[in-house]
Amino acid sequence: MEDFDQYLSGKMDAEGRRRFEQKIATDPALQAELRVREGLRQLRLEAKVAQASTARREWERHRNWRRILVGCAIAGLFGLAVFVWVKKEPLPPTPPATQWPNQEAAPTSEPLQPTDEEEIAPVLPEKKTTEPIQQPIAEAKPNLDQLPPPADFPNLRGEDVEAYELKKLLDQVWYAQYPPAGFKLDGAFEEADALLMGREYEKAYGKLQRLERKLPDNDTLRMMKGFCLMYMGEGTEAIRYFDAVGEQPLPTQQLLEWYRGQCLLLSGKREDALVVFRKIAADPKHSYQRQGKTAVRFLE
Amino acid sequence: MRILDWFTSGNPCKQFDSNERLFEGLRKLETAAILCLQAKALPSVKKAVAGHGLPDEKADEILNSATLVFLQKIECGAYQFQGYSPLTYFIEIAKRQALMATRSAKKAMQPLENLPETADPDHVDLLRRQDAADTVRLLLDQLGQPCNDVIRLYHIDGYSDEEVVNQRLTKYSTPDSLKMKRSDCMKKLVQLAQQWKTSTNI
Repeated sequence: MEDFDQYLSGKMDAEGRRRFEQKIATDPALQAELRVREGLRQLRLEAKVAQASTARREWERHRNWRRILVGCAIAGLFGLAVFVWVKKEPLPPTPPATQWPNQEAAPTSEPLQPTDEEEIAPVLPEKKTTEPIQQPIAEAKPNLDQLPPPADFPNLRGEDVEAYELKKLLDQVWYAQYPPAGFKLDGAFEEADALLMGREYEKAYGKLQRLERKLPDNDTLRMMKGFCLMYMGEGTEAIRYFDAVGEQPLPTQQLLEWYRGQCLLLSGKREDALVVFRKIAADPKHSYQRQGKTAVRFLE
Repeated sequence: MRILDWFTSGNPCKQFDSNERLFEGLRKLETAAILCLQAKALPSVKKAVAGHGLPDEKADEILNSATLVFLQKIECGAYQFQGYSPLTYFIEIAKRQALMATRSAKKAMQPLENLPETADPDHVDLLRRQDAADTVRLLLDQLGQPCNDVIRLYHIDGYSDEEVVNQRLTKYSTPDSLKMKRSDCMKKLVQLAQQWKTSTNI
């Protein structure tokens, strides 16, 4: 048996190997034993290789998964880096916010007097409807901080000197705020309210027009429609709505009175407007007394 | 912890930091050493398989047959460590095995007279030993129990007598009794092989 082990493991010297092979060649029993021992060794090797092969396939499977995971991680990191990089890129400069006319804070001092130059040689306006209009805004009673930016100048018929003067006068006198202090709305007016806040008077008017079919006798609706019409330059129509508003608390009444004055001026009834403004200016308890005084000064 | 193990088990050769250590592992038929050798050689073997126009599935078969040839060469002393990487030698064996597989495939399709003789001594030796292994497997089945287990545990699975006794893998409770039984079983196995040789006239 030891001879077989030595022979098969290559530990036998050349002479011993030759003699052993001669012996095997003549002995069938030794030949059979050699074959058995070779077969057993081969089976042992095959078992070991099969074991390692199974381990290798497992290792390959793990390696492939690791590669997929690492690939995903790299792709994820790359995506994140690109995202961060894109986010860090400076945005193109945004255009300056639209400067609404009359958006400046209301002056708290007395409005400026018309200059001599303006009185002597009025310059015809350019054909621009979006021209910023500086409006003097009066007293602090209506909270100036809460004032919405006034709208574009209302529509005017003709572009002659008279119209220009009226426009200029309105610029100096105009004061309106939305929403008025203490103005409360229910759900039905939310959309129109949002449009008014966004200064979309025509759309708001359309909404209110539709709403009027459902709510034909509603003071809030009348107030809002009047406000829209006033901003749309329809003074007479606006007065109709303001006049239809029923009994209201004093601040609302005073507001409506001020708006009536403005609407009269809008519709070209200068004298009638002056009467209203004088009344407001003469009342020390009137919330719009200061605006009234300014208006009177410009109209007289 | 298992996830960490999973991630750190990337290198199957981390315990074989030198060619000598790898050779020693292969000589002792350590599974980790064989795994390391196969993992390292896999890309070259796949390339050789593709180069010979063999299907990808053949790579596994070629790798295993090359491993058997190489381990046999180490076991019988035909390959001895001389400071070089065992991997280089192994890849050469694998390439020859791939070539033999190509020729076998061609033989299956073409008349034999059209092909030149393509005898590779390593391949012929491997076929002979595989044939011997098949015979022994057959004879072990004929031998029955407990001889089948007694011989298999020692000669194929590589257990020592002490391990077999301590782990109670057979009914023999001492190494001596186990050794005596195995000696008897081996005699029976050789007799069966002799009878089988006579009956098949091989």
